[in-house]
Amino acid sequence: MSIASSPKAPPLPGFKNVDLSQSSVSGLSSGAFMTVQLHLAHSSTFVGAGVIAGGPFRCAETYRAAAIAEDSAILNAVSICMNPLIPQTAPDPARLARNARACADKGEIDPVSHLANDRVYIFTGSRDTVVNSTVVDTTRRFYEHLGVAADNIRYESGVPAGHSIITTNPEDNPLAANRPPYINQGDFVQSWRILEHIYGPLNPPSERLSGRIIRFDQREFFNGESRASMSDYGYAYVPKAVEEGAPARVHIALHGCKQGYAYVNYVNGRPDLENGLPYGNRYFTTTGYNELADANDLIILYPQAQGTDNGATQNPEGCWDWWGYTSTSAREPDYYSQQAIQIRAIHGMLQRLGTP
Amino acid sequence: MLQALTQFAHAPVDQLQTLHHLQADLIRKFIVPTVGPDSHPVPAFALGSHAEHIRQALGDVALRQLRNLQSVLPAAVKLSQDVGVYYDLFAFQKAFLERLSGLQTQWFEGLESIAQEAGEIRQVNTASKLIAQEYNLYAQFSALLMGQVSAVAELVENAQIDFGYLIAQTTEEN
Repeated sequence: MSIASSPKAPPLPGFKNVDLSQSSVSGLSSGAFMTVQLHLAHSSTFVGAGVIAGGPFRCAETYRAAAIAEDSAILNAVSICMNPLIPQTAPDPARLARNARACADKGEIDPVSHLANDRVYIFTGSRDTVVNSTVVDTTRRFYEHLGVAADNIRYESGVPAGHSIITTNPEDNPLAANRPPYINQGDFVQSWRILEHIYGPLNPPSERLSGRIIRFDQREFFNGESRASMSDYGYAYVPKAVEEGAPARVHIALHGCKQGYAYVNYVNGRPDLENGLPYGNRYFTTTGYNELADANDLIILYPQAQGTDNGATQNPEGCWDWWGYTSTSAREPDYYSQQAIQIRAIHGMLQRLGTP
Repeated sequence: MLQALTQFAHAPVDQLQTLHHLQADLIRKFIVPTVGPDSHPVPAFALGSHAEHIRQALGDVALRQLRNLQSVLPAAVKLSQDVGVYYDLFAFQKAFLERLSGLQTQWFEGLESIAQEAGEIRQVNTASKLIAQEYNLYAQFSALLMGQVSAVAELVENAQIDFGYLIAQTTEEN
């Protein structure tokens, strides 16, 4: 069931002096899987990525013989890319790296050589019961197989965190929780660690934000096609200095499943519109990105995915596509490539931000 | 040696199934019907007995699946030279049994929580509130059962896919 179309919002604006070649991307869970996909698809644009509880590129195609095409992807996603029973049934990073190189050779993604100097932050909570740490470890090895120097990868696996992005907000879930809103309270702000690892030492975060959160109409970036499973609105945080012309960089922050602004929990197969509140703005206001962005002239772009569950598209939890649900062909999916509807949309937003 | 190892692999599964049935019998002894001389006023307890049968059946399905998977292994893989496959098999079995055991722990904890709530005396001033309280217990049972059914089905599917993937990798290496 989808929410009725919303009134039109202003278009995403562009800004002067935005250096798109210094862009970066991060995400949690399905946002993390999409981060890896986006990073590889447009590695010539990005200088780094932050992967929280996500698996390697095209992980959902690891064992295609599992079932018929459509079923195979989702079975792989759950059984191999999220909860393999033993490490031996986790994704094979060497094979997936070879697949990535083959994609690059075919022109589906940028040449992997662009990754060599990129800085990658990868995190798995040791209490994560949604995406097994074994899988996230393969993401680290996947990047190493693609030539990212070990020194450029910051891999954290010892924090007793559940499936979440970590903040210091006392209102958030306990650290080891594995439930919505998948934002947990720890003793550090994870978004800051990601940005500092990617960009190096940064100014301390602002205590009071100077800029504003922009709501823009996302629909132009995917032509309103419902198979994109993206919301009507996207959001971006723009520091005041950037609006006034200061040189800027862009970081894309991708939420996880059930974290888009429009997500409403399902009860007995129906969205609980009577009692359940939409997830709202929590991901793009409380995860700490804006505070550090404000002090460092970073634009934070928050694209939004939305739940769709109909005959054509099965994505009830509003996840980013990392198993092919947006592809028009299950046998030859394109969800990971530059031509993927979601990747095209997000890349289009990035390009717009740099076009005054 | 292959036969001995296969039998050895089956042993923990048999033991778990025996334990599984013993647990179910124990639970049923403590769950009383809602009618008759030994009845309990809270219908939720009666549901528990029925639910326990279902839980046992689900566990049996899962364990049968594991046995079936293990039986396929000798036919599918050239084992004589690759001892590592045996280690993978035992690790696989251990992981599967741990997950199944975890689900059963969740089941008992859920049942305990509902039973505790059912046993609490609560202020009820209206008929609608009384009905709501009784309904809540049924709904909680239903959700608990639904959760177990889904989780066991997912575990079985998980085992099928992972086992197939493991076999595929092993045969590729050989």
